[in-house]
Amino acid sequence: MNEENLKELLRSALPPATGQGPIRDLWPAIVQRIESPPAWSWLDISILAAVTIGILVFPSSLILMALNL
Amino acid sequence: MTDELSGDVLGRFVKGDLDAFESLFRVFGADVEQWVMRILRDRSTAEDAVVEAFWRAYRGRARFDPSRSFGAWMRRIATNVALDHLKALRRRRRWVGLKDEMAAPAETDPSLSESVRHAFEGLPDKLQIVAALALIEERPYGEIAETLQVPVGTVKSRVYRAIRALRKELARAGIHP
Repeated sequence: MNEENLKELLRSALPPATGQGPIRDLWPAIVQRIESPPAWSWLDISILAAVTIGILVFPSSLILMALNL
Repeated sequence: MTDELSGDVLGRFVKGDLDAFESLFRVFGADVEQWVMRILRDRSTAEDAVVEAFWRAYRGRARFDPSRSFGAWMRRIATNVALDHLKALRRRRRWVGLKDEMAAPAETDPSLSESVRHAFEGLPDKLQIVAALALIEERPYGEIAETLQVPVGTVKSRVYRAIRALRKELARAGIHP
C-alpha cells in the first residue's frame, strides 16, 4: 500500500472538512461563556470539603482561626 | 488566516475591550472553526471547541503580544482545545462505545469505512492530529508545525509513524488496496 492509496482510502472514509463554513453565529455563546461566573474546580470543592470536615471534627479549631484573624 | 488588523484593535483586546474582541472573532472565527473541524471532524464538538478556544483567548489576553499574529496565536489555542476534546471523545468512545460520530459517505463500502475509521481513531492523539491535517486535509507541513509548535521534522516523523500504524492496523483487518 503506497502513501497515495492510503490517503485516498482515508479521504473516502473520512471526507475532508475543507469548505464547511460556520453554520451558526457562535459569538453569543462566547459572550455568555465570558460573562458566566467561574465554575468551581475540583480543587475548590476539595478544599471546601476538607475545611468543613475539619470544623465538624475539631470545632475548637474555629476559636484558633478566630484568634488568628 | 487574515491578519490585517490594526494594532489598535489588538491593543484594545489585550485591555479587555469586548467590542475589539468581537471584531477579532468576526475576522478569525470562521478560520478557527474550519481548523478545529479539520481536527475533530464533528460539527457540534467543533462548535464547543471554538467557544472554549475564544474564551481561553479572552481569559489569557494579557499574555498576547499585539505585535505578533493574532491568527497564529488563536490557532495554537484552538489546537490545544481540540486536543483536549479529542481526548474526551476518545474516553467517551471507550466507555460508551460511540461509533457513529464520524459520518462516512453513503457510496463507500460501510465495512471498509468502518475499518479505516477504526484504524484512524485508534491512533494516539498526536499522530491522529497530524494524520488528519497532513493526510486527509493535505495541509502543508510548515503550517502544521507552526500551529503545533514543533519542528517540521517532528511533523514528518509523526506522519511517517501514523502511516505505519494505519498500515499495520488495516493489514490486520485484511485491507491491502
